[in-house]
Formats: sequence, structure tokens, C-alpha cells
Amino acid sequence: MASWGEASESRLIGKRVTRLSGKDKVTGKAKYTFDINEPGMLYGRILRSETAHATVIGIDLSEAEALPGVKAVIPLIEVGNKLRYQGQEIAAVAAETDDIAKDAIRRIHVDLEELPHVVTEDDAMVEGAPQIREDWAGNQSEPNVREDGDINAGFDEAAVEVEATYHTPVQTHVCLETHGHVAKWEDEQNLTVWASTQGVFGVRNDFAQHFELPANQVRVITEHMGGGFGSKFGPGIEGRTAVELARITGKAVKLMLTRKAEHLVAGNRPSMTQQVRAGATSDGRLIAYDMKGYGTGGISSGAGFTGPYVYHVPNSRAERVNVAVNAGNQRAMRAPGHPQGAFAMDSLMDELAEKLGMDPVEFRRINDPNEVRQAQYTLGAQEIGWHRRNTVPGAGTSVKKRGMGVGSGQWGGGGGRGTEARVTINADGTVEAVTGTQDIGTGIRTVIAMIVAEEFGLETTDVRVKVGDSQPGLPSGGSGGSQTTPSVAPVIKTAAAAAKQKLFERIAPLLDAPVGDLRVGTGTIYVVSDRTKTITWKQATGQLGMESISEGGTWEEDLRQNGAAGTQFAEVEIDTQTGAIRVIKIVAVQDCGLAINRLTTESQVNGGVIMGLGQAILEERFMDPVTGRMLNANLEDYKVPGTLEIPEIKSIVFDTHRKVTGVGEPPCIPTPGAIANAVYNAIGVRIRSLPITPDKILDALAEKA
Amino acid sequence: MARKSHVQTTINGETVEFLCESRQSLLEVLRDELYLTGAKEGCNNGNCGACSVILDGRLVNSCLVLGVETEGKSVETIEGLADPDKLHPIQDAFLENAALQCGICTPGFIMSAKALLDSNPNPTEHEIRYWLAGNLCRCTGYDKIVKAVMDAAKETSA
Amino acid sequence: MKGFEFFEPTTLAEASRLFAQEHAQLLAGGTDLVIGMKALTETPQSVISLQKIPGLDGITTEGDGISIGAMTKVREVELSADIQNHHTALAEGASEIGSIQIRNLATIGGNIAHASPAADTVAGLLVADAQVDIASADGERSVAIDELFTGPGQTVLAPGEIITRFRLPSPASGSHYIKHKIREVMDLAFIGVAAAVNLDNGTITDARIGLAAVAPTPIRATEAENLLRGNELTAELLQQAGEAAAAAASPISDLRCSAEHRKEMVDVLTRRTLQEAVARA
Repeated sequence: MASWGEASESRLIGKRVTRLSGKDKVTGKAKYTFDINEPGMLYGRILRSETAHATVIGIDLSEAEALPGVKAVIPLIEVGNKLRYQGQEIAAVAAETDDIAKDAIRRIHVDLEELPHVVTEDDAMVEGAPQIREDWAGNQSEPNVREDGDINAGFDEAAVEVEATYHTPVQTHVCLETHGHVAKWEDEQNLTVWASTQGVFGVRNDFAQHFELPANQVRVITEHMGGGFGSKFGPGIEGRTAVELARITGKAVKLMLTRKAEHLVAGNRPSMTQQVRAGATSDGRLIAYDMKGYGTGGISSGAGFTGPYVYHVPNSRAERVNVAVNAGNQRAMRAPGHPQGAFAMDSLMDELAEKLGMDPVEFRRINDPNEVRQAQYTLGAQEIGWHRRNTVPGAGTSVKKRGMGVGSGQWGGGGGRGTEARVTINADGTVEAVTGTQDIGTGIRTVIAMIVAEEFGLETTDVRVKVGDSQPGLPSGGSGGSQTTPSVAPVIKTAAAAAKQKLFERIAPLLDAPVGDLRVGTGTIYVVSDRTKTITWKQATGQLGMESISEGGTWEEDLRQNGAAGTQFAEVEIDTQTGAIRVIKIVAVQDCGLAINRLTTESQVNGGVIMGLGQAILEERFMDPVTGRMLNANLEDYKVPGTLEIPEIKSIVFDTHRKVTGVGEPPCIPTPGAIANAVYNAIGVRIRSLPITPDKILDALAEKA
Repeated sequence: MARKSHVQTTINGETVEFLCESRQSLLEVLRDELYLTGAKEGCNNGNCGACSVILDGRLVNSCLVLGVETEGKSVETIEGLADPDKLHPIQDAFLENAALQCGICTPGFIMSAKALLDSNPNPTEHEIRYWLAGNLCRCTGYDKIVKAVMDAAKETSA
Repeated sequence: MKGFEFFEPTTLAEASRLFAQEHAQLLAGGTDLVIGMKALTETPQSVISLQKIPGLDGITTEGDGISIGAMTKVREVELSADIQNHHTALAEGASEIGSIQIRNLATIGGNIAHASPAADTVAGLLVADAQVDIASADGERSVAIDELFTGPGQTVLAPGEIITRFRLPSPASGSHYIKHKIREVMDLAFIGVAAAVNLDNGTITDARIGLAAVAPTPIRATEAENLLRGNELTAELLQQAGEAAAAAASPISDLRCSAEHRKEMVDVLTRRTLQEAVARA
């Protein structure tokens, strides 16, 4: 059975290791898709709808085509078809400069017949609202119902009940590098595309299919990319458009989205409104849960969210409906469905706990079947100083009030098959590791180097890692679902182990020892039964002469595990006169299985917490019901956390087992619930709608008064 | 063909000449004309700091400066920070503290940090956060960035 | 951006003549104009830079008063010891604009000439009783800051007129500016309140309260000021002043904030800025 070995035996694995590729990033040498410049390259731009709902009557490209410097103009929608959200693609241009391309799209004239639109769930669901999807009467999908046990019997047993409605708005990913591609046809049958993507092979396969090319004649490169968070799978219309413009013009074409378009069409986290009724027994057991919920994922996509979540409730019913609005479609956003579900569930738990007169942590202990989290509650409560917490929420007369709250999360992250990798040992002692995964900022490059270096007794800087290129033909899955490390690490490990075995077989005669007696030291290979028999790594590989050793790996399931439990405790301070909220401290206890690189794991936890903080107190897409447009499609009024919003973060990487689990998503799940509960503890009024902004706090305080 | 202006500046200590239209920002000139792609476009309107450069000794958003405004001025970009044989202490500190993940915001943060340490070699943590508040990061949660700048300050003022 | 002709005049007269033409805009720091040009809300055919005209920037003292050139960077206003000491509300307002990157480009003249009711330097200038010097090819004139604005984005400036200087007559004993916002930096003001007081032995001899982003133009809360003049600051008076200031405000609801919330905050922040101003005096 494959294993990572004991922690005490590990030289690199589990330690904090400096990121490879870091040097290129800190010197500005790293080339992201946005940075690619090819000789003779043209700039592509897309004309996008400013109307939320309209039929296209006519498109006149002639003035754009006539503009000097314009090399191609193509429609992206057929006359007679409908535009169904602001931002939808109408036409595209390729021109010699970016400014000419932008001038050109302004010269495309579109005749539209405007149609009535709805851009909020309330407007979409109201009686008599215009139907914007043929197949959804009332703009709603058929309800999806899940039932467990018998909720009526459950409520009969309940000693306390809570009825509440929780709401989270649409959020956008705000990747700092927008979506985009640089496409270049090497010849009629060979295509190269630099893509800002989380899935090099997914994009490759899409292009191959769409443009009818053999898959091995499409090369997709993502050496570095500026954030995805779930939104960058598949090339999108903009990717196919870049390739098409490149095909028509015979030149490389760079087509990147503007920040505005990024907000409008590059995906979002759907909204959620949950009406819940739940009950608990007098001894603190969750007994019944009845939820009706809806959300919008845009014009043609769904709005999933969890509920019930994390805690065990034997009798439950959850009915979910998706609502269509004239807005851009959702795309997976960091732990899809979970943070909003966690916010609702953790708020509900605290409301029930209060009715029972129980401490929120104790109430969770009774109802949380996960043993890891039981230990995490203890650790987290201690670290935040849970005993200092307000016993009476909102107590005191000071203007600034503090409070603490707790939230939980559960994720998978076990990885999957589908990664091919190759580890090569050269005769000069150099080592290479290649696979088709992409480093979207997780540090997988470094993790790969660490695993190989550990296996061979080398330093990470001795390992040359190649990822983010489909050309070597070693596929890997997309970097989503926190799958990268658990999918890739086992394959790299087994490939390295196989290569090491082959090397041992070559040099065993030289050391006059059986192959099974050979071990690696730091830069050496020695015989375990006679330490005097030792050679350096270079001496060993020198034996290969003109040959190299190159081995592939397999996805050994025992090297990874599904299931990442987490809990977070938050402390906040509220100015009760202005409603200003300040998050003071977050303690994040996160199970990430075997954390191969502790440094990058901590980074992931911190980053996840801040994204959760943004969801809790800052982020919201505003739609204008009158014009049907997004009012804050920019970074001025769509607010993401900055350096002055960040609390003290204590990340506790909670090692539970020596198996790899992905950690990209879990840390953003518990945060909004923990913060919302802390707000209640501070001021004694509950905000059930995110983001928790000053005006909501003041309204709630005024109502209480 | 639109009229272009001839502009002469100093970039990272070297005299550089370029042609640009009046409507091209300094960021566009750096990235599209001079192929200095270290400064990044994150929002193109002064809200994210990914385009930060130092202009005549002052930290600015290069997306808001016109290329033609830089005649006779001096520009420092990320490409000019390291010596040929070693990195700047700020760059080292970012690496050692794992203050980057996807790295797209990193050049902007490093230039902001350099401008800070040039004017205040011993900033407090709050001063660092305040100074860096014009730079956005979606990945790291900022605290390692702040720590990196504190370490770099210790290193450079020693 | 759409294309434009770029001019760099070296005299005010030349700048004024160019600016007086149709479809011309002035470029000071660029932090409003360039953003507007990128958003296509500004589409000038000529852009006239003020950067090459000597004598338009710098902070100098003239007796008791301070003179600030219109082209002075907001960052310089923020850091000026004289302004920090004698017109603290203005220095604080300057420090609230955008980020360091923005403040190194933005000018105080640009911030005022753009005439957003939410401009962060305006409340501090209001409570400093600033005079605004204006020049054109035809001559010069001066306007009190509270008479400069006629509506959101609108001033009394005639075509070709350029703000050259702000003259702040005499310092207050103490002043303070608070910007109500959500993020610590990089936010536009939901509201901005400045208070400046002159104290003599605990009695308020003069009080000035400036409100931004709560009316079509920045305004002074004169009723509140009258309540305070000649009195000591008691808790009761503070409450009355806050209420009077809120009554003077006629804010709008927008995606940032509701009108009710804005009015409420005028009350709260007037009290806080007054308390701090008195404490500093």
C-alpha cells in the first residue's frame, strides 16, 4: 500500500517551503496570458449588449469594417435571436491596436427591439412578471425536493422552534486577471492558445472539438494565471472568438475581457433566499428542518446551496427552486453552494441554541457527527477566548460593542483519476517532473517539486517542474473542487518512486547490494545495512551514460482522502451609532489532511477566510430594475476586502492523517456564519442578509429599540 | 492613422524613447509598446493598484497617467528593481514569507512597498497596511504581504 | 478612450483660451478625467494639461492665512504640517481620497473643480471659509467656496475659467473631518462632515460645519452653527447641533446608501466632529 511515510521521516513534506516560480513573479518576468505579445499580434474586442432583454433586428458591421487598422469583424449573434442579459456578446473585432479595436466596436450599429426584463428574483417571481425563459413558467424551475424522515413527527417532538429567512446576494469572482486568450494558428491544422484557465486540457479538448482539429494538434498553455476561483473552466465565447479571429486574419489575436465584462459575463456565485423552520428537543438535539429556498444563477443556470448542512438532523425537507433573471450565468465560485448554506445553517443553529439557553458551541457538539470538528471546536474556542464572550448579546451601554461567533464547513477535496505525469532522471543528475495540471496560484508546482525532491534526497530547486502546457500530452483535470493536489500528488509520488526504483536497479551492482537495501540520503544513495557503501546522487545518475530514466505514475487512492472539516471563530466590533463593523480576529481551524507544503496551505486558509469576510460584510451585485444593468460592474462600488479590512487571522492547519486532501475551498465556507453570529453576540440583533453593512445594522438596532 | 507623439523618459535608469497616441496610458505604453509587462491591468481605472509604478519618486497608478505626460520624467517599474545578480530585499521577503499565490498583484504590491520604504524606512504594521490599501489581492488575504514588508524593512534599515 | 488632441500650454492665458473652446477639458492630475475618458462619460476633443504652467502648485503661508495652489497634489495637502496643524479637517479630508497612488496624482483644484458633492476636500475647505481664486484669459476673480457650486458636477466657472488657488484666511482652534464609508480606504464618501471651531476659554466664538454628499452641492449647516456660536459645548447643545445639521441635509438614496441613513449619519458625525474639534482646540 502506497503511503507518504511518517512525519518524523519527512525532510520536506509537511514543512514550509518557499514557492518555486516565485522568483519570476516577484521580478515581473512571469508571463500571464494578458502579458503575451506575439509578432504581428492583433487585439480582439467584443461588442456587448447594454440591454438586458432584446431581439436583434439587425447588425451593421460596415462602418467598423471600413475603419483603418481593422482586420476582421464578425457577428456573435444571429439576427432574430435574443439578447438576454447585459454584457451578452453581439460582435467581435480584431485590429492592429487595442484602441482601434475599441473604436471599431463603437462603430458597430445594432438594431434592437427591446423586451421587458426582470433582473431581481422578487421581480421575476411576482405574479404577472414577463416570462423570460420559454421553459420556466413564472421564471421558476420545477421545485427540487429532498426529504429525510418525517418532519411532522419531528416538529411534534421539538421543544423549541425557529422560523427565519436568510439571504445572500449574487457575488462575482473578481479574479485580478480577467478572462482571456491569445490565439495563434501555426498553420491550418495546428493551433496554439495561451489561456487564463483552470483547465488546460478542458480548453484544449473544447477547441479541438469546436474547430475540428486533432486534439494533439491543439496546444494550450497556462504557465501563470491570475486567479480563477472556479470561473475559468472552458474557453467561453471569448476564447472561441479569439481563435476564430486568429483563423480569419492569419495573425495572433489577444482578446481579454474588460473588468466590466468580467463582472457581467464571467460567472458569479448565485444568490440564495432560504425560509427555514427548524426545531430542537429540550436536550439540544436538532429534530426537524423544513426549508423552502430559491436563488438565481442568471438567465439559464441554477442556484444550488446547501441546507441542512454539516449538523445532523434526522427529519428534514428541503425544497429548492431556481429563478431566472436577465443577468449573466453563474459559474462555480469557491465551494459552490456551501458558504451561503453555511451562513444560513450556522445562523439557524445559534438562533435555536439561544431558545434552548445553550452555548452555541455546546449545541453544535451535540449535533455534529464529525469527530474532527469536535476537536476543532475545542481548539478554536480556546484560541479565540470563547470564555470572554458576551453572555448576554448586546449587553452594555458603550458605543462600540464586541461579540464572538462560530461557524462550520465540510468539503470533499479527495481528488480523482485522470492525471498523467512523468518524472525523468537525467545522467547529469538533473530531474524533471511534467504533468498537464496548471498552477492557478495554489503552489502545485512547488508541491510537485517537494514530492520528487523528497523521494530522491534532493532540494526542491533541483527539480525542474513543467506544468500548464498540454503539449507534452500528459493530461490532468481542471483545478477546481480543491482537486488539484489530491489528484496530482499521488501520481507524482508513484512516478518518482518508480523512477527511483529503476535507478536503484541500475546502481545496485555498483554498490554490491540488493536493490531492496538501497536508500536515499540527502544528495546521496547508500546501503542501509552498510553505511560505508554510499555514492552521491550525481555519481549514481552518471551510471546512466547517454540514457535517462523516465517513469509515469498511477493515482494511488491510499495517498489521498476525501473530507475536509473546518470551523472558524470570529470576533467583531460594531459602532452602534454609525453601524460600522470591524472584524477583529478570525481563528480558522482547517483539516487539510496531509499538508504537503505548510506555507502554501496556510496561504490558502488565509485567502479563503478573507474571501469569506468579503462575502460577509462587503460583496454584493447590485442590479438596476429599471435599466436591467449591473450598477457596480467595477472595483469601485463592487467592494472586495483590502489591507485595512483584514482581521488578525490565526490559521491552524489541523493535520489529521497522512493523506492528501485539497484545501482551496474549505476555508471560505465557515466565515460568513461565524461573522454573522459574532454580530448578533455583539449587538443583540440578528442580521439575516448578507452583506452585513452599516445601514442594516442601524435598521436592526432601531427596530429593537 | 492617429497622430503619435514622441516621448522621451527615463525608465529604470535608462533613457527610453517611444511613440504613442495621446490617449494611450502609461500602462498601455509599458505593456504594449515597450513590452514591460510587469505592471498589470486589473481594472484599468485606478481601483486595484496592479499597475502601480513609481513616477518621479511618487507611487502612482500607471493606468491613470497618459503616456505623453511622462516626457522628461523618470519611471521605475518592477523590472528595474533587482540587481543582475541578486533580488531586492523586498522581493526576497515576499518569497520567504509566501506573500504571493497567483502572483498577478505582486509587482504592484512590491512597487508600493518600495515607495513606502523609500519614504519611511521603519513603518509600523498599521502604516504598512494603510500605505498598501490601494493594492488589491484576491488570493492571499494580505497578512503575509504585510509581514513580508515588515521583514524587508528590517532588512533594508539594518 | 476616444482620441483627443493634447496641449501643454505654459501660461494661464493660453490654457484659458484653449479651454474656452468647445469640447475641451482640463487635465490636472487625471484621476477624474482619465477615468471619465475611459468610461466614455468624458469625450473631449482637446485635453489641456495644466502641468506645465508655473506657479500653480505649492502651499505657502501668508501671515495667518494659508495659500494652496490648485495644482498641489492632494498627497501634499495631506502631509503639510501647516495644514495639519491649522486646518486639520482639510488634511484629513485629503487623506481620505482613494489610495496613496491616487493622492500622488490628484490635485486639490481638480477635486474641487470636478464638483462632486462627495469630494473629500470640500468640507474642510468649507469650514476654513476658503476663497477660490479663478483666472481666465480676461482676468481674475475670487469666489467664496460655498458659492462655487451650483449643482452636482456644476460650478459657477464660465467657459475658459480655471481655478488657480485656494486661500484659507485664518486657522480654526480645532477642526475634524469624518468620512462615512464602508471600506477603510478606496471608498467614495457616503457622507462627509467637517467641523471647525474657534474657542475662547471654553466658549465657542465661531463654529463652522461643512456637509458633503448630503445635498446637490456641499453645504454649510448654518442653523447648527448659529446654535453653537457664543456657547459652551454641552451634551444637550451637541445633540441640538447634530439634529439641526441633519435637518439641513437633503440627501438622496443611491446604491451606496439610503437617504434616511445619510441623514442619521449627519447627526452622528456632526456630533463626533464637533467633539473632536473642541477637544483639539
